[in-house]
Amino acid sequence: MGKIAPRRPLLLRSRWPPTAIAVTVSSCLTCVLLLAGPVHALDPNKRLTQYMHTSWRIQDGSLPSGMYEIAQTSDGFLWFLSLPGDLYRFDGVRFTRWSAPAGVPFNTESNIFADHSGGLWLAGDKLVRLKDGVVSSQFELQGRMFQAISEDPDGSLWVVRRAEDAPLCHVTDSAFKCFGKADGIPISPIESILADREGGFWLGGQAALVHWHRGRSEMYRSEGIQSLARGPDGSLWLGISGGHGLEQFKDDAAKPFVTPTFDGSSLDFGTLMFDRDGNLWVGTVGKGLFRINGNVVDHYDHTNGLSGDSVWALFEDREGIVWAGTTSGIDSFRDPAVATFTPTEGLGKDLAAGILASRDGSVWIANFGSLDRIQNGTVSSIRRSNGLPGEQVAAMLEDHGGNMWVGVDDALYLFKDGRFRRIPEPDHQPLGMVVGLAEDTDGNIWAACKGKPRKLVRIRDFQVREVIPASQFPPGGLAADPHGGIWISTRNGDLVLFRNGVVETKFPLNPKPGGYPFAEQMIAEVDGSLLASSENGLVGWRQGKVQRMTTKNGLPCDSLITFIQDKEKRWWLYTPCGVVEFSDSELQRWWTNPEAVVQTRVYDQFDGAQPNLGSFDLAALSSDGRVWFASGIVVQVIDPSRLSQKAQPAMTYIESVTVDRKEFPATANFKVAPHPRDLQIAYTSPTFLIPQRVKFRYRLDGYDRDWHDAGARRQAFYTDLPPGKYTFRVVASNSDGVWNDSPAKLDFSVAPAYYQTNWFCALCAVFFLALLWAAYRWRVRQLHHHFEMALDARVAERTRIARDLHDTLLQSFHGVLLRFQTAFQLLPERPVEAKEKLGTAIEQAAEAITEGRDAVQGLRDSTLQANNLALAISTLGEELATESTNERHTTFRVAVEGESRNLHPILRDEVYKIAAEALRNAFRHAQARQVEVEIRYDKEQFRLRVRDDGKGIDPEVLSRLGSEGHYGLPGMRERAALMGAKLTVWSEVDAGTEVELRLPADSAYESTRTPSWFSRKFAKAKA
Amino acid sequence: MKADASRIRIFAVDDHALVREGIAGLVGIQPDMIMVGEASTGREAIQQFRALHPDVTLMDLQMPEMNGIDALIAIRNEFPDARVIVLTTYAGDVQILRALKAGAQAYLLKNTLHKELLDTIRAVHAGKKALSPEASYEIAEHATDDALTPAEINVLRLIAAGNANKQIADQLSITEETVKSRVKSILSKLGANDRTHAAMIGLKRGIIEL
Repeated sequence: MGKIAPRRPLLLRSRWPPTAIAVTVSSCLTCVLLLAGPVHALDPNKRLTQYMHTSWRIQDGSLPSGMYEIAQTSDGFLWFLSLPGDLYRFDGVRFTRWSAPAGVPFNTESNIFADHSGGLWLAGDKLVRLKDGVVSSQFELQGRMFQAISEDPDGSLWVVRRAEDAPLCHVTDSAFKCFGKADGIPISPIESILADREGGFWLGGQAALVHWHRGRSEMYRSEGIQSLARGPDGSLWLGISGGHGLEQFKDDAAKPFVTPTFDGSSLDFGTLMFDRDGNLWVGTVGKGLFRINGNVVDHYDHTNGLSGDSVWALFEDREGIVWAGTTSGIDSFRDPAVATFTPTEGLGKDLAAGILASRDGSVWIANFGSLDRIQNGTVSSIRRSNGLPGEQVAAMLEDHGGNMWVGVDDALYLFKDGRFRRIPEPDHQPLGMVVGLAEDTDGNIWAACKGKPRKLVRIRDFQVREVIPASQFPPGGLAADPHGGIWISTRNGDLVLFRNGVVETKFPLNPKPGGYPFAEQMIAEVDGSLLASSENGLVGWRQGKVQRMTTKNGLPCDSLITFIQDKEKRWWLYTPCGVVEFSDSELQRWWTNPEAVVQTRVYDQFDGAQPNLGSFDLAALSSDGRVWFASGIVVQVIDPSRLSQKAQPAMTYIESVTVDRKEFPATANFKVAPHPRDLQIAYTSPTFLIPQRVKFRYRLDGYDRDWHDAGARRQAFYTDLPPGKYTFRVVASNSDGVWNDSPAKLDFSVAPAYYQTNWFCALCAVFFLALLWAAYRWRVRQLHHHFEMALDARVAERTRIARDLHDTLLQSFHGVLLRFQTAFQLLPERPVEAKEKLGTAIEQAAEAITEGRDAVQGLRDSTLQANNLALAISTLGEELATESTNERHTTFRVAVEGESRNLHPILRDEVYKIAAEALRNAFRHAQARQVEVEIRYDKEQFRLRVRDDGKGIDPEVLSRLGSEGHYGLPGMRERAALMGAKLTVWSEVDAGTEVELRLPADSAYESTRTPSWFSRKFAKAKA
Repeated sequence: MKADASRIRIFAVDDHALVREGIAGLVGIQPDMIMVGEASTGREAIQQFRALHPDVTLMDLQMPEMNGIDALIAIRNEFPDARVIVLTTYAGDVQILRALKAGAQAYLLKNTLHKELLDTIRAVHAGKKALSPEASYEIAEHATDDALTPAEINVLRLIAAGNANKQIADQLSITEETVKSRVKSILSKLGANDRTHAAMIGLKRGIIEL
């Protein structure tokens, strides 16, 4: 091992490089055993360069480092271990770096291995098995550096460790047992391990190859075995370190593998692997990749596009793709449906203008400067140097006698045994370039020749018999009709049946003139029908009727380059959209119903198709059943027999949920915090054949009604998901376009924010109702209060009226009544006295009437409706002014200051009554010249002043009189006190009297009691 | 004119001058009666009574400062022989009873003064008691009614003055709830429909005064 270590990059330190070899070989072999069968595999007949090669290189930014370990878990994902020791998971599109869960020992010394029950083993300081991202078991095997791992059919593992005495350990579910010298293993360390077919192992060490039968062993001398592989024939191959190359172990001895083109002994060793088709893949250090099949050795290195020339790991995945891990990246090789021949594979030039398959199994390519021949997968060329009589090889034909006709430049040749024999031209005038060749049922060879004019030439017995200048139907391609005559695709866009010297049928190729008018391919059938390729689909002519197969019939393109039928009668169309395949029954269905939609299968650029337009016959069917097309540039071939395998159904996995840029693993019943703005669900389907073609559909149960067609997109986006439970489902179609029936599911829920919860809503409702109830109660109380206030005011009013009547009118009448009684008793004895008494009685009665009227006035006051206090007061004042029949004229004036505001109705009455009382005093008792009322609406208070310039009252008298109830003063005070107002009376003898009433604003004005918006609404609603 | 000693000496107490003048006029022309004094308040009445020692006192019940009942009680306490005729505008059973309990010999409604005053004075002077038919009827009508408690009377008085429950509670230093329960009891005892009605009944029956 010491010899080998320096080959590895320095960063690996003491790592033993070839650990991957045995792993990949053994696991691949078990792959083959366990899988139902290879899905796709690599066609050994194809050259390595003909595989579809994809490269992920460090320098392109695809990868952070080179990879030396590859495994595929049973869920389909590929795992790569990078040179610095990071683990990457790959789904065909994206490399995802795997971070070890806490407690999982994983470091740069580690090794990975996927078992067949879905586990991924990480071998480092410990041996750990991961299943679905969690540790399912782990083992403490003393001695670090586990390297080679092999799996028994029963699922137990064989692990090679760095331990002198017992380097090989058998690991079962729960225990392990290690074997060493005592068990018949004579070597340590072991570099590689390979299970034999009898339960034993081949073990490769530094100095020997050991065949261990679990107890006894045979030892063969060999230098530094780094890798072991067994071929399909059972042969054992040894990868030897130190530039000693590849050895084959046969007859108990190892011999270097050497072919005329390949010297295995000189290779500096990387890794070995047999693929399912029996190809041996060899990864070298510094020399790229070799593929060996029998004696055929293909080489592939950076000049072909390999990411690096040092290949550490080789792996064949379940889909038959071969992966290579190099120091600079990852490479994959897959077998495309449509293989391509280019100058790399030996074509003379990339100008493949026409193609012909001959009966001997060869395929001939008309190239510029060469006639190329493909036979048994190898390409040979006939050039000027070995007999080609010109530059441009044109139309070719093999007649019924096996003669091969080849147009070269402007002449026609018979090609036989490597020699070209020119067909003699009449008058020694060159025929012109032969663009079409056909043999009719009579054995005539027809050639369509360029030149002016174009002409049709009939040849029989290798002699030109007839030259038909055909300006009416300038010939291009030719095709024989099974019932005699030939079909001609003319340069002016017609299809012409030329039979017995006359044009029997003629119809235009395209529905409209213009465009490319030329049918590259015509096939006339026994039933008298003709099929032709055109820019407007496949043209069918039968019994005089023309029909077309286009995109309306399910073709991917309207335009058709050429087409051909294979041995199984399947039809192959070469179109700009790729190769289209359908069965003959589909064609027959179309014949009977030109509207029929044809069931097709399309092979596009991902399958290797590189369609383009050549010049001559562009399609050929070789005797091995393969279908060939010349694209004008390259040659493409399809093997229908290898296309029947279907891709596996696409497995879909939901990977992560990203909520507002924070990523979470997609665990079942995932809970999303309230109010997710952006929710993104990432899903994938691991497939490596044609990941670009994998399509997805998803649906979020609880949100989406229908499935979303996501195309190739691997994320679903949702914005502002309301709280609730959701199930996300996603399905994928595989590279054949077949949808998997069982979707991947993820249940998750979006938690409600507190204000989205039911209890909160309920609480809100309760709160609102309570508020409503409170408002209602408040309003009721308010109304009740108002009512009570009105009621109380009414009681007070009644009391006042009663008191007024009692105090004034009634007492006066009682007095009057007593005087009348007195007068009554005096009459008739004392008439003079009686008269006197009656006189005072009458006077008193008149006074009583005045009192009564005042009381009535008081009643009327309370019905004061208009809110105009000033108006009411001035009305009363004027009334009183006219009533006072004094000789003096009393002037009366009302002044209002400030903006008039509404007073509370009850207060307004009271204010009015106080004013009225004061006015009555002023007019009746004061003998005033002037009476003035001043009403002032202030912000802080309401003020009323009644002033006169009359005789006034002595303050002392005033207080006494006031208390005795004269001038209505007690009543005024009482009223003022009741409404919370302040009443001040100021008076002086001969100076007049002033009564002032002051009410604070908050109780005086109605506006300060203006109901709130709510109560107004409420009152309105109630109304 | 007869000697003063033979005439009935009459003392009139009323805050209304017109009423006093009327009484004085009527009494003044009677040969057997003589007005010896007048007073306009209860307090004045007590002072004058001490000085005058009248035979018959005419006492108005509703007067400022000290009402008639209080003055009557004070006078009767000092002079148990004092003969007092109560004058009032309204015939309320409670007031009548109160006056009679206080020692009044007669109860006269003012609207019957001109007819019955002189006869009543003479009857009382002769040592008789006199009750007008109207007053007798009032007393009989409510004889079996539950009397209001003093607390309820206080509340009723404030109701009549136009106070709301809250104000009443404030003024009496009791809770509003207590006021409410008393109002309820008042309404029930008086057979009143509402507060206004209760106040009216209270005034009419003399439970409260104006």
